[in-house]
Amino acid sequence: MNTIPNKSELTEFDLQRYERQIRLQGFGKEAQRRLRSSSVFVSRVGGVGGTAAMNLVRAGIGKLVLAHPGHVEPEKLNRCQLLFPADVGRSFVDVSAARLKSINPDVEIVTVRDSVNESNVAGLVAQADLIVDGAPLFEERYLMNREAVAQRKPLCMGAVFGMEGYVTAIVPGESPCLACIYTEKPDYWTNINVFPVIGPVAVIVGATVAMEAIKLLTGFGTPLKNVLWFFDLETNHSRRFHVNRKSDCPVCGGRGGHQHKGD
Amino acid sequence: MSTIFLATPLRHYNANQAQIRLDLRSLAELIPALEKACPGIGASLCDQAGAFKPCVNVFLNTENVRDLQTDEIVLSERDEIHIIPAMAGG
Repeated sequence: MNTIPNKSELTEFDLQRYERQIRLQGFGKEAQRRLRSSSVFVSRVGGVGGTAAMNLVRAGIGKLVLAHPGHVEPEKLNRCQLLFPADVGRSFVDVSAARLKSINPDVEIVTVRDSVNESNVAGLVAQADLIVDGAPLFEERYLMNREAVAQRKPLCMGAVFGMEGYVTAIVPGESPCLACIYTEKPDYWTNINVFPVIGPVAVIVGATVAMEAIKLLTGFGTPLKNVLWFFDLETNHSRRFHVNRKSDCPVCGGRGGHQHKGD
Repeated sequence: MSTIFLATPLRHYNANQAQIRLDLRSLAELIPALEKACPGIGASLCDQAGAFKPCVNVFLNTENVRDLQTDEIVLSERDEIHIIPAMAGG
């Protein structure tokens, strides 16, 4: 664990700020301390990743590593909770980091003005205890998945298309990785503009991803391991699908663990 | 009649409807029946050998059909099938 020094003690203000969640059955001060001592790498801080980052910061995460290339564009404003119209043209990751820091000045934030790629993925994953995957390209998602498995770091994956979304918690050796669940990307997913989306869909996925990260970092609750939680907000249709590791998975196959049978 | 739920990228094959009801006796009848009702959908779901593409998951109720290891399962009136392609939107 990338334990953050001198961050495990809760101040009087912390105890007030986090009082409502400390009161949750099974959470308590110990989970709050664990969160405070934990670090998360968020790949892209858009509608999903930005919402996840915002909820992690509000919950009291100790450190975030944020990677996002480019500048704020108007089309991001319908779903990116951290961005305002006046931010158009500014560095996406710098604006997001500043907003997160204003929400919780205690959080340590490392920013990278780039997306995940072959040359930086190992170093980015190494800086965190857990990965949040909100990238809009499968190439980035498969890279992070591969590295999460290699470094045995949990990865919370959330994605959207239109009014639909899904979330799962990937724990190497315990639950299927992205390549077990979807070995290849669809042919039509050729760029970041493929998917339509409206704010609430991305926000629900991002908030759920944040909750999964909190569960895995603190031991609180039951994470979505071996479960792909799917929803369609157009009809409010929702299902929990069982997903299993593949013994011949090109990424995690043969790396220990067990096959899950439905609950 | 089984209920088949189609994720958004597949709905243009079904007059933009999310669900379709099909009379299926077994899972093996799914793709031929879907193709008949929604022409063109079969090629987007299956490879030339007839296997589901790796970018698509098909769930019978809560279970991935790949894990069932047979398509001869007899379907009942209450069975649901979800067809969910991979997504990466953020």
